[in-house]
Amino acid sequence: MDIIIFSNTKNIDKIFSAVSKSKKFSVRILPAASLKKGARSIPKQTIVYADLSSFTKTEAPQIIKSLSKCDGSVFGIIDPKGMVDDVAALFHAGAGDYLGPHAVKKGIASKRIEDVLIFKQIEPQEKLKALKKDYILSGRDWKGIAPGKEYTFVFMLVELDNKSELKGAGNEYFNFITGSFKRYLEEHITPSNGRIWMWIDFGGLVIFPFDGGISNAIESGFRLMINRKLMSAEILHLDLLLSYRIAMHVGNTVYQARGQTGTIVSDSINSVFHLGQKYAKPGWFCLTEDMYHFVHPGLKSAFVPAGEYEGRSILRMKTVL
Amino acid sequence: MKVPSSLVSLTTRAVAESMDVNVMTHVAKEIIPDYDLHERTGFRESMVIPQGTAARQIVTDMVKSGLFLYFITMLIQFHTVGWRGRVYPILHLKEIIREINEAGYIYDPDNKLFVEDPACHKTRNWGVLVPGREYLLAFLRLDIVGNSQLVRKYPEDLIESTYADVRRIVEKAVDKRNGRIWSWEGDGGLIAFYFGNKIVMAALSGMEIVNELFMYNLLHCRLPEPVRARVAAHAGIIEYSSDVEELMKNDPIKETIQIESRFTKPNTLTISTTISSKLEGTIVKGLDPIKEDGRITYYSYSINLEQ
Repeated sequence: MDIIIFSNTKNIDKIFSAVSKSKKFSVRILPAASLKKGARSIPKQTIVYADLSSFTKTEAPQIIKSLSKCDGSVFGIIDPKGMVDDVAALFHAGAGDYLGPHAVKKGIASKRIEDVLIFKQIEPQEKLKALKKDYILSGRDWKGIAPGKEYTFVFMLVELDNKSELKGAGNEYFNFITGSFKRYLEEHITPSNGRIWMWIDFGGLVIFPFDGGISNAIESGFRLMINRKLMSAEILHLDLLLSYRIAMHVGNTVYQARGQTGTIVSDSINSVFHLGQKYAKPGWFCLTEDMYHFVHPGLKSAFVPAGEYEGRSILRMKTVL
Repeated sequence: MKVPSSLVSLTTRAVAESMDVNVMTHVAKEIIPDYDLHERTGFRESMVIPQGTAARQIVTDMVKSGLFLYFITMLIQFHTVGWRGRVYPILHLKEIIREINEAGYIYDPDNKLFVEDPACHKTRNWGVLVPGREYLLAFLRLDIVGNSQLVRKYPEDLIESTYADVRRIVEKAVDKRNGRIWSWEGDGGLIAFYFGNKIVMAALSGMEIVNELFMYNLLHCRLPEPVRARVAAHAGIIEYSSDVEELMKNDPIKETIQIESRFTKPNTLTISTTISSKLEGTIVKGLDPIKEDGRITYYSYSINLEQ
């Protein structure tokens, strides 16, 4: 689940550094000014903290009012200067948390956020009801994932397009290119807890744990696309501009350790392979509508409709010119 | 580097036990061409200088001149490659290198230099550039567009946090390529590259900064508007100085700043032909040429999505 802090205070993220490190929640900071646009500016299914020291005394009550109207999100107040006279009134207005001067100085742990969610009776499954999917959330990381059990993952199929150039260049060249590409791919997916699950000649299937919130997996795919020229120049040191396609989908599968995936039968895995190998064009980063629900708001406008495939609407990232 | 007295003694002993006065004088002259051992020791020309005295004088002079690490690299060369067809095994060389490592410097065999161990410390000159000497370096210049308007428009702490974010992006891109930030004024700065494939490293750092700023503006920017920066890369020979103002007088640095301010659009990297000539042809084909009087003078790189 995402935590969004509306603040102009330098190093405000230090309060949440233990929360970030736990990797159970992602922490983002947005300018305080964007909260002034009202409740509609608050992304759904998030935990929102407003730093009162970034607002004037006249703005603060209006901000709290906006936050209390926001359905689908939990809000907390950060009060580094102890400006709030009546903390209980905040909770009467629907707040889930209050970080006074002491908590701000000391910082908070992820347990506190979990307590806030329990206090506000927010269950991760609740958020997804509207989507009417049988998601079995696997979490933000790999801690709770056991072989032999079924979970929801984000699937990312990545495959090189330069097949003919690579095939004709000999084994050594082929292994060098695909090896370099694999290392670069790993660099991009690791920050989002992605793992290469299967590797087949020109690419592989990456899976990311899924917690029902905004998925960082999409950011990994996005970065891969914009870093294409940089990767070609840096990693390969060869006179070849690589091209690759990415297909992304969210769905269920039984998890097995890498190398023991031969017996897995999963519609979701089939879908992402079909989408990547039969529908996506060279250089595309496409995703299913199921996945699009979990795109970060900042990236949404970079995706455009790309038709329908196997009964699902498909979106693709705008081409990097 | 502050050379501990134990290391001075060990090196003196190693030199005295490994070569005669004639050879050690040649080592010294490789580093300081007009080095006169008789003058330095006070011995008359006709007198023979004892081996221990000569070694002590040379090592002490190297330490005083700030050339001790360079002297050790010469000893490594004499030990491994030799001099005038003969290899001179240097006793205690492993111990000397170990002591230098402990002081925070590691030997870079590609460049035949001791460089700072980035895990221990980072200085502007990588611990090796000597003031007054000339070096070929690559430079990257970054400037945030419209700084004065932004400062007027937004609260100070918001601007400070945003600029700190930009600096973090720059540091991440240049640190992994062994670049050094030579100056930073809040809204931009100058970065230098000296080791490895320095010219390519400067270009790649610039590309990464452009890419990461693009992502930052989409996902994490604190301002209600995107941060726009101009980035330029160029390379050339400069005379190193420990004084930043003196450094800035070098022509290649002035040219880098000029490329950034005159030929670079916001959120774009502009590279000179000195830089582009070192990039793979396919990469250069993906850049936009900038022409002056009908000929290509620069190339630009930016991230643009289809409309």
